[in-house]
Amino acid sequence: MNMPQRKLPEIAPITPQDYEKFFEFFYRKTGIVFTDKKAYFVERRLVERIQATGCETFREYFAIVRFQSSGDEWQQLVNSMTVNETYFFREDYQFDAMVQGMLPEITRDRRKGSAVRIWSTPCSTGEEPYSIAIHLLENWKRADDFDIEIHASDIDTRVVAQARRGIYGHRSLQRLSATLRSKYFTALGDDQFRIREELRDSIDFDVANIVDPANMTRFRGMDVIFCRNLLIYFDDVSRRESVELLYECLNPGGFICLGHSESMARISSLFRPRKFADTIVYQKVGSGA
Amino acid sequence: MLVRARKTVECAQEPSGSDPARDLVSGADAATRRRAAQHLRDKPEHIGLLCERLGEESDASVRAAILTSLVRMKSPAVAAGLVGHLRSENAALRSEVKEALQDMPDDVQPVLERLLGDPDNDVRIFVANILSTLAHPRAPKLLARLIARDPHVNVCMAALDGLMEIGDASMTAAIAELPRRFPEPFVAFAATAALNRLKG
Repeated sequence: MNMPQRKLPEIAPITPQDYEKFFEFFYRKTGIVFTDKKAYFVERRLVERIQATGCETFREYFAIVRFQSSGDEWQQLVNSMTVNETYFFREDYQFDAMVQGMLPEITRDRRKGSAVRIWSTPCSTGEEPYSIAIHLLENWKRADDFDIEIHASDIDTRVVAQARRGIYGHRSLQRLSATLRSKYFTALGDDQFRIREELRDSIDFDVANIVDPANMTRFRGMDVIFCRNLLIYFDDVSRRESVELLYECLNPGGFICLGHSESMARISSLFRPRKFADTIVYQKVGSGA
Repeated sequence: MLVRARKTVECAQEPSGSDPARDLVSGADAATRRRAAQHLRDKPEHIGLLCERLGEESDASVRAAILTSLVRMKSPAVAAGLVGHLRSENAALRSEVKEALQDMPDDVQPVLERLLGDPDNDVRIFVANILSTLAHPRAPKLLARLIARDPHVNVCMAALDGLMEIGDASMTAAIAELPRRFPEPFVAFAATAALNRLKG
């Protein structure tokens, strides 16, 4: 990626070599690859973090990111570099597929009262996991037969905190009917709505990096994983690695839902494409737990 | 009904004292062998072992982990170790290896170039398949070389398939020659289709 050498008022110029070093480090830790299209975005965010920490050079800042024992600045940097634009009931045809196809198949031979585990990652500010919960309560006839656990995780601590708070503006809610809004939200005024406490309390929000095997051991035994619009930011090797880790997190016969522009075909042959309710999802084949 | 998820404890990936190289060979279950393969991801000294196990391993998820580790450590040694599996009788393994090799274009290109002269027709067909989607600037030239020189019609047809996608007008002479070398009607048909496409 070619970065212009640019004089900034407060800090020394960041050289193309510095950027190269930064991209390599960020990639190794997160699997995320920045393309040329993102050059300006990355530069702006990086300069902001350098300034926020009071550093005068990239080198000084980079030392903090790499060696700070608390890891706080690394987390701040991740938070600023990740994109978190979403809304309720986005790509909801996959939720139809979940209640019409995936869950009936998964629970066919499961006894009443047993657990069904669903994981939303990256969950961003919580719209996806809350949408899953609402969709299940509204549309899955057997929802009361099982203990449904919804797990939600993101690499960005800031969005996870926002998700736990469960407060949203009108824009996030625009695809929700008035009935659902009044049933699951409390109006706070100022065009703000808070999701009801029962729903907030039923979802387990957590910070996790899906390319970190140690992080992923927390999410074993899943029946359905929503991992939408994340793998597109990874390069081929990181995609392979993260899909392998997701494979380990799924129960045999479990499903992964990817974003509408993503496909498992070039990443892994360990999943079988299945068509439910006008969408393709991917089922774990084999018994490998 | 919705219930609060039970918190699980983040556990270490492997008990201390375990030996991934040993587990990869003799781990009792697929999960153990898979994790062993993942632990060897940054250990180039085990490239030989990983390549060898690939041919022995019956579980697809373990083979996938082995291949991911090898792609992560991509090098001429990895490419050389992997191409041996193109001779395998196991079609699934061959196909997995082809996909992995496509993820290491710079390392595999010289190895594929050498295999253009392999005595096994099937191997040369696989080479043509890999070159067809390899992100390497020499891939079209190597396919054109197969079309110009390879004595087996199926190898030439596999190369022609690739050239239809990635070839250019400079390769039309070799393609036009194909029906004379192989007088079967389908060769003439395929060559004409390719020429029309490449000449625009």
